[in-house]
Amino acid sequence: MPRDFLQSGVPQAHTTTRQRLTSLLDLPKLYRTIDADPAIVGAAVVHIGSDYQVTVLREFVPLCSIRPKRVMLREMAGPIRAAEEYAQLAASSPRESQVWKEASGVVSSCGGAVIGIIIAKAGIAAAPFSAGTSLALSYVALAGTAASGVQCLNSLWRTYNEFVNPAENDYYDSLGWYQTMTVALDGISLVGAGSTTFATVKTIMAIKHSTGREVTDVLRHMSRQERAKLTTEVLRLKNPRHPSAIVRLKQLSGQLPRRFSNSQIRLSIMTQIQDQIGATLAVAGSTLSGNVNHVIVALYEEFDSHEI
Amino acid sequence: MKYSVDPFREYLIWRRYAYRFLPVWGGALLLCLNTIAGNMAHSLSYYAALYHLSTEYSFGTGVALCLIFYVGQAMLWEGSRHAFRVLVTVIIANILLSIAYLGSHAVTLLNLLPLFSALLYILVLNSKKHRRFTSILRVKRRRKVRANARRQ
Repeated sequence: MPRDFLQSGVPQAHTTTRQRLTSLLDLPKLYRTIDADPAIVGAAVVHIGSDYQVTVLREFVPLCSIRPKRVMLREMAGPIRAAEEYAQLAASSPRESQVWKEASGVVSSCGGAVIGIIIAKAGIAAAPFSAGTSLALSYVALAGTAASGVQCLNSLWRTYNEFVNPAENDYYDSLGWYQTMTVALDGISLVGAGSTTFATVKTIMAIKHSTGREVTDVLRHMSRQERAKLTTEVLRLKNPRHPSAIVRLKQLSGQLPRRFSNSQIRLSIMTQIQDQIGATLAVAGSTLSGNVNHVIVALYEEFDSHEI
Repeated sequence: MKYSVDPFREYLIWRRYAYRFLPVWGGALLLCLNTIAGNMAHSLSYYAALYHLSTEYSFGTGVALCLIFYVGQAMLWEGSRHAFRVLVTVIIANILLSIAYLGSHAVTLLNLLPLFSALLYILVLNSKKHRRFTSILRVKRRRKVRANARRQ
């Protein structure tokens, strides 16, 4: 089998499915029949085996419409059904269950919400490193977290619906205000994620500028001199209008710190890393069902609402 | 006692609290959200259908319950002593909704889930850790108020 794979570049399971289908069906004739109908010319052909293995036999070519259309050939497990039975089955279960998709949305948005609240609360502590923007950013992060919380409720509700009444999810997906709300919530949580990323990048750049270290070295303990240089850099960023002499005088008088301690720096960076985990979860949640991968969601919608 | 507003010290205190109380606090948050979501899918949509209303009403009610819950949570974070009343009101409303739904539907595990998580939420809310957590936040708020009053 590995030899076949190396030769053809296609895993054998796929090859055999394709070969089996080619021998079972007259694919060129099927394609011709599809292309003869102007409503579905160029539609993709997808085969779903009885073991739910999906094989794309032909990709969609945007001739009939810009929106993708797919002709699905689904193998039925068990005894062969009559046409009425099949029609009834198709009517009662119009789509595949998306419980896992919804459940993964729950994990990402709820995790993002919980971590986000912790970070938004701690964001104030990261103030010395984020050049004074941290407080404004922490409000943005709070708004993002609140949006993540509502997203969490939304995804929990969708998961329940997937068990109780999957048609409800489809209905809501077709509602304009619901789509707008989802996109808005995604947007707000993404802005929250973006703001925390901005703070992290700023911290790392400040450390890199002052110490000349690589990014991977950021967590290592710093020497006295390095910490003093970092403190000067941070104070310079925090007080852009003050001349360096004034900053120096304030440091000497004890109004500003001379150098941050190692634990201070480490804790601040750890906060930022936790923050990043929250931000990544927010982005992942959006990828699954929202802004970042909007096209894929749209594809599913087209696929669900298509009537063949 | 002197109330310090040093952000770093604040952070250290806060971090200690977070590690100590995160499981109980995060768990309570998720339990309550799970209850509200379950009732949105089961009870509220059932009542919307019963009264020939659109299911958007059930969605709106669920989101309103969620927002009231968030207000309660925010009050809890700020150390308000009325937070508990808001949270308990929300959860009692949820318990009533889930019991009412079970009155006319089969008692399955899925149907029982909102009720169970609501009851568990009340247990968590009254657990020793959660009570300690809220009382610490209240003390912190009182100290802050006192420090501000002294400064003025």
